[in-house]
Amino acid sequence: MSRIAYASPYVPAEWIVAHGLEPYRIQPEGAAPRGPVPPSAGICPYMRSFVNQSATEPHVAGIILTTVCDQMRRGYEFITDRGLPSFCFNVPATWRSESAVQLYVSELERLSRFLVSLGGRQPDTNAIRDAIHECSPSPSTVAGGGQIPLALTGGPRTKLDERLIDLIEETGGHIVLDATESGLLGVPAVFNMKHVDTDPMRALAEAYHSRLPGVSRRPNDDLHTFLAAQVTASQASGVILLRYLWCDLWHAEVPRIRKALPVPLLDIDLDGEDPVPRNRTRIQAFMEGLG
Amino acid sequence: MHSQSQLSLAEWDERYAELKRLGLQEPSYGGPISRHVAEGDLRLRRLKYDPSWAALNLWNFLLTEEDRLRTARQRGSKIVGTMKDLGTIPVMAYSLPNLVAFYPDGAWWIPCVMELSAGLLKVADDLGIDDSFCPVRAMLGAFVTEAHFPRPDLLVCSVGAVCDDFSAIAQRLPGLGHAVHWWEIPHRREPDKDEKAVALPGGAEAPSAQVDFVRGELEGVRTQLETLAESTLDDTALSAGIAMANRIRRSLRELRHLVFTAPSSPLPALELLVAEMLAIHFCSDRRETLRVLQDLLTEVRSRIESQEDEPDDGRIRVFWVNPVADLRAMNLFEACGGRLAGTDFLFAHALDEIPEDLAPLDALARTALADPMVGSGQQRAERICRDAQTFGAEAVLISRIPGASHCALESSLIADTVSRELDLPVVEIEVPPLCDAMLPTLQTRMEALVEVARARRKP
Ligand code: SF4
Ligand code: SF4
Repeated sequence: MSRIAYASPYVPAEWIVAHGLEPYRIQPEGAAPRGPVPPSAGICPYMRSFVNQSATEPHVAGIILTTVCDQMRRGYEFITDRGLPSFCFNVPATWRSESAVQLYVSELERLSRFLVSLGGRQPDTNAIRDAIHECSPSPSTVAGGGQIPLALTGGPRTKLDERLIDLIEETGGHIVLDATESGLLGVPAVFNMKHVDTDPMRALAEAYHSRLPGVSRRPNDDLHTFLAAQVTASQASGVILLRYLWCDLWHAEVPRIRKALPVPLLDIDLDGEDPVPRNRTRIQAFMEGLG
Repeated sequence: MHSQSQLSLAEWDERYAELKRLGLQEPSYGGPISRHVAEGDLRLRRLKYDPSWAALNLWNFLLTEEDRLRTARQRGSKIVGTMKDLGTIPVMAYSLPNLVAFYPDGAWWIPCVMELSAGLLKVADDLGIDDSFCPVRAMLGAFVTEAHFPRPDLLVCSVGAVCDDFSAIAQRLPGLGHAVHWWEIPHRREPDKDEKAVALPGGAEAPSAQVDFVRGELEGVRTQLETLAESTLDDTALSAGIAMANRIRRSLRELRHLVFTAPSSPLPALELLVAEMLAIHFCSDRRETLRVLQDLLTEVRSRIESQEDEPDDGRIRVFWVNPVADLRAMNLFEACGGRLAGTDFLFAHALDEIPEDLAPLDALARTALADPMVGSGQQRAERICRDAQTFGAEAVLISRIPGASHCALESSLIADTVSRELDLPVVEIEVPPLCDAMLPTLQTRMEALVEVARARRKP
């Protein structure tokens, strides 16, 4: 089965499955492989890692990027420049209007044409319904054997940055909530099954766009409400926010998130290198403060 | 050659006194440029200016916008803060008689103009918006201090295919008590095969479906403006607004053409940059914008006539990409032997004429989609190449904007395209809001570009 690579939470895996193709949500290695995007100041290390890896991975039939940030939108150009089959999914930043829903739906239709061009089959309602049952995504599991309950939030993370999770565990943390884009913020809302039967594309748009809180949406107040509620329910005693250097979207939200949360927040920026040496002392100090 | 006669601020004071003695008739916002220094515009002390009466009015007009906004409010007009789209929403707002529109984005230049004395970057720092963001973070400081523009009655902001810096900073405004009406500008994509496409001002194309979508978004903005103005913004009023905007854009087009193509440069780069900025939102007075530009045109035409039979000024013709955070860099550029032969200060779509043979919102949707920043970097680079060729540029200078989310990826793409398509020398510089400490570096790079281009002139 042909593999379709993507990274954004706004790309519905079900839509790819319904076309008879394999969704391949890449978690980039992080130690950015060589590729079209150069290592240069001002470039988000996550975007670079994703673009370079997907551009060089074997067995990838097509790559989907989204417009949710300027960096990914421009990263798409580096992939097309290489002549790789790729698709730029126009995810509206606005989400409350009917026109935004319609734009998302029209992008699904356009994506369908792209997938068919790669050998996918045109899906019918049954195929979409089956795909929704088949995919049922689950958030990443909680981790760590320590005593201090902690929550994570922020953007996605690479495999390299998973080392921070080990560090948190080592320093006494136990992650009870992963509300990052690699965790809960990357999981679509529950599908409206009535809509799945009557208007499946709308059902996808609702689950992946209208009701999925995210930092890039305008307005994004629901993200803050969502995080506050999740953190409270998780009984975490602190939150670690992970964001990439040059990611303006997460960076600008840090003070608002701090204000919205009932517990202390530690803001960590990831630079694409091993995150442990840079952050060991800060994480230890944060844990001591909470302990 | 204009640069020999550029004046320092002190020299302008003397010239102003002389012109006054000769009976200079000034507009209501007139006066010596130096009076703005007393109001905090300290950077003016370090700049060199064109010596003409027309340029004096240009500067005074630019530097008195805040007064005009406050006067408009006193007279009962409503103030629209329009953000990010650069050029489209003001055309709509000014089509209603009791609205004035301005760009809070213009605070971008306050750290330079006030030599950081306004403390706006410090306010932004305190709000967590540090120098990893572009200078537009000064806008956040300006909203907090309320010292640089009146509090808008309505804020509208385009989102979607915009830079992350702006989108992220604008999202902080509601939390500071400023409600925002967001409207979506999608990433302009190439029409698919068999998809209906429409031509946009400036030469690009977009799928017709995207134009329809943007027109719908502008309908939403129209409703907001009508509610604020308590009157209807019908197509007749919009068409009249477009016609007026086009008069301004045509004047600017002629001015640019003359400045870029005359044998000797008839207007300094700094004044040309300021003139282009007027087209974005008319500096809060459309009629006066037109008058200021037409006076500049008259001045430039007469200079070109008097240049006849004179040889080329020998300066290197350079296409300039992106605005500079420090205006002083434009003076330096000319001191290094350059002159402008084309510009893309991020708002090329605000200079292109808006189609007048279409339904007005359709025309404005096409204009908004023509924004070089909502399309691909490759398309922007291609337009830069076309324009550079049209104006006979011999080199291209890319001025990176510190912290800007698009520059790191786009600048190299533009540089590569220019080198490949036009075989012109390209240099990249980065200009911070105050570039004094970097002048030697900037000078070296500009001189190197000029020298390389000059060497290529030789047979
Ligand atoms: S981490 Fe931020 S800048 Fe990087 S790709 Fe994600 S949203 Fe874009
Ligand atoms: S300079 Fe660039 S990054 Fe800054 S607001 Fe303008 S377009 Fe955005």
